[in-house]
Amino acid sequence: MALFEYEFMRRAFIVGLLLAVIIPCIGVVVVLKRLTMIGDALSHSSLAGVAAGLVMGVNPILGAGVTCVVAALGIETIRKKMPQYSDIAIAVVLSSSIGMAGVLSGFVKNAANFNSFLFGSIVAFSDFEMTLVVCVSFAVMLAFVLLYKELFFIAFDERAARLAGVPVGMVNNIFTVLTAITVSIASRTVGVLIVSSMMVIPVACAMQLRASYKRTVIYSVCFAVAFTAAGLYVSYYARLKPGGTIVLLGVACLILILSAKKLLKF
Amino acid sequence: MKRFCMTLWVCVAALVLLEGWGGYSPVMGAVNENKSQKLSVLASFYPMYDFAVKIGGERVSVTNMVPAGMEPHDWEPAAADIAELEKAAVFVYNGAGMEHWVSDVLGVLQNRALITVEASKGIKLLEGHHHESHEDEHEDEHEDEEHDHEHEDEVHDPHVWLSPVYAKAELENIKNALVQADPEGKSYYEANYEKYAAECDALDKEFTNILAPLPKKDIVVTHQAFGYICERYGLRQVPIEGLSPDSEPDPGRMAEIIDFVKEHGVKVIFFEELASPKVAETIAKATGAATDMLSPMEGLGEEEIASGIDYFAVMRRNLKSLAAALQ
Amino acid sequence: MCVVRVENLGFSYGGEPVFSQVSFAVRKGDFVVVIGANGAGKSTLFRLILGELASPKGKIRLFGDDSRPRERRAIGYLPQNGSLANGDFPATVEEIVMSNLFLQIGFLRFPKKEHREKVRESLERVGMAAFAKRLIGDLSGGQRQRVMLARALVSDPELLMLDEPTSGVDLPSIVSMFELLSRMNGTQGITVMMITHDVDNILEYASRVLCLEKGSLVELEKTQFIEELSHKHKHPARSREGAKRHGSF
Repeated sequence: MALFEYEFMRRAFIVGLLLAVIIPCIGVVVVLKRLTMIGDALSHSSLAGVAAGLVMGVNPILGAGVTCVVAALGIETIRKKMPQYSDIAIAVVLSSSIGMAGVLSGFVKNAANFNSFLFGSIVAFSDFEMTLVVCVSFAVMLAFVLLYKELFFIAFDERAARLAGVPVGMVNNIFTVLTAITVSIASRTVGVLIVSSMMVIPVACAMQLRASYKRTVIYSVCFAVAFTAAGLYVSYYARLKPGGTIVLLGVACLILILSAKKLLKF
Repeated sequence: MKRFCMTLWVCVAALVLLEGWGGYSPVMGAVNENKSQKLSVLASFYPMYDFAVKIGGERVSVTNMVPAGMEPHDWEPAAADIAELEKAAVFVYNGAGMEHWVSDVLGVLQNRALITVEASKGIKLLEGHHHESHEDEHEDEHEDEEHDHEHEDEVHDPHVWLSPVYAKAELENIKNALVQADPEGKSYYEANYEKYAAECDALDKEFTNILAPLPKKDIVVTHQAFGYICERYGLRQVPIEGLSPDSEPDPGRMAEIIDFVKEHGVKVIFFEELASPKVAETIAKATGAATDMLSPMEGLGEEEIASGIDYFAVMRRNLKSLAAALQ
Repeated sequence: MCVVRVENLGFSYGGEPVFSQVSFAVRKGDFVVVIGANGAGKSTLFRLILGELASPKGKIRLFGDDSRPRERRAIGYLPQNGSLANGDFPATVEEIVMSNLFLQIGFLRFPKKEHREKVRESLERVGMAAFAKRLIGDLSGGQRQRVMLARALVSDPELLMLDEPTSGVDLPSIVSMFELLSRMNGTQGITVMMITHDVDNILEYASRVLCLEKGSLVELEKTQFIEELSHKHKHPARSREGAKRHGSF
């Protein structure tokens, strides 16, 4: 195929598909714990981190990673205090991140530098970013497989998991840190849009199929992989923005599933 | 732990605020001191600021509304900026769609004495086509339609100041406004205008002399800002993006540019100071070309301004980069 | 052997005493019903025994020993409204029951054949083996409650603690669930502690009745209590025959 003649397209497929595997895995747990907007909140906190890093003269990727982890642990802490209203935690972190990113960005002296961290596109990223994505992907895959039954138990019934002896605090913290790192790196590399939507849309599609937890995870990954591959393919030939194309394909698929379900019922 | 984090953030924010104020004080200070004698001029972004300083000289105090290092395409005035406008005597902006906020803001201003200058007035504007310079070569009509569509609300290319000839025209518009606001300084402004108009002519000659004999004519740029340079000196720009920088490129377009670069032996992919160089780097990597900066002068970094660089210095730097790329 | 021994236990919530000087012992094979008005502290008492709450006043000993966390794993627990929450969660009955085998499988390890076998056994015990592959959301309230019971039973608990297992469950299911518990209590020697408001139905299965009232706990004589109840409600406890007719799954 013509599009694979270009290295940037091959790289886009590699990174896109890796992220399409790991982000929905995180997404399943996040959605089932009713923390759907966490991707958005964390990607904005990583913007604040980039700005803070540039202002303070610290490596911006490090800054983004640190603020993301702090924000994620902050969400986790507030969530523990108000378990029924975890969206409050996300709203607080999201708005404070946007505020902080806005204020701090006014003091960034070299805007080019700032913009290059804000800007992420699946068709343009550096070798360094690609290496980071590959490393993070394998770390997340490993953690997700090893912590599979623990994450399921906690997502389904955190209290029962604790009573059954699951080290809930530790598992939650590992998961939170991994989520934060994934979001901060992936949103720098492929853009905020893809990251926050890949966390939710494939999972929403998979949940419509009403399958077991295991199948829901597998279907989510399949949906995400399909959206990413199709999105890249379509955007290449139809000359569209890849990030938006991937997201819209996902939304279209969700609408299709919902209406198909409705039609079949009647 | 939580409290500690909070405190840390507050400290960081406070430090940053202080530092920020410290950094901006030279510019701000210029407005405040000798307010009574000097004509207060607000300029919408860097080239307008530089032109107003050149014409107004000692008789005016000019403030650049877009802070150093900010991308003016995305910038919008804050309440404090509107307050400054209420106090100013002259407001210089480029127009031609560069400052989308101007008509709204001018509509609400109560400062009836304010003289506004649309510096690009009277200049024959280029259509804001996505890639007008080479589509006749290898693009079908279908694509052309599509891209027309994409930039419906940005029909004109606003980057007129990048042509020395039009820079001269903008200087003249600014001069006329200053004369209107401060008739006593007429001869002073006229003299400044003559001086810099001559320098524009000289710059124009340098561009023609250096660029005309060079064998290559194609420049690949991240953002379609160099239409007026190309028009004047017979170059063709191949923009990766449209008139606004920092939107995501589509992969089909990138593939096309990679093919173009290979086919025409383009040696340098240009990026600009205020936008991400990632796309330029990706294309450079795929084709073995180098990357270099070509400034559309939408804003300069703080260090650059502090080092006393001006319009002519940046244009000569651009000329050098162009000459190297087109060898 | 005492499965649970509580001595002089007191608990206050935000300065307000919930109860004080609570002492009782549950022996192996007991079927204890805990009753009391709303807010009397029944669930709090359970949470103290489970180790989710701690109190500086008094002592709780489990299985004849000090209450070390490890001992708590021998408790199977059915939370209040546990079956109603997470109704749309994409998980099968099997997956949910399997989750409680955490300690048997081990941290970071995967279930083996023997664990799947245990899950099947546990589902058979509550009569839900045929529903192993079904989604929890597709089941009725009574069926879900049985799944939760299977989840509690899968780790072979010596003590089963149930917090209002009958809320949101229809009458036939309630009765058949009580029968099931009674059978396990009688034949398998599982000690049962249950909080319930459904006194009418439970009393014929229970061996002891504990009542939390006005901040203290008293043990009621069962026979005396049944008489009192029948006077109050003008109808006796439901007959076993009726239950059998309606409550077979």
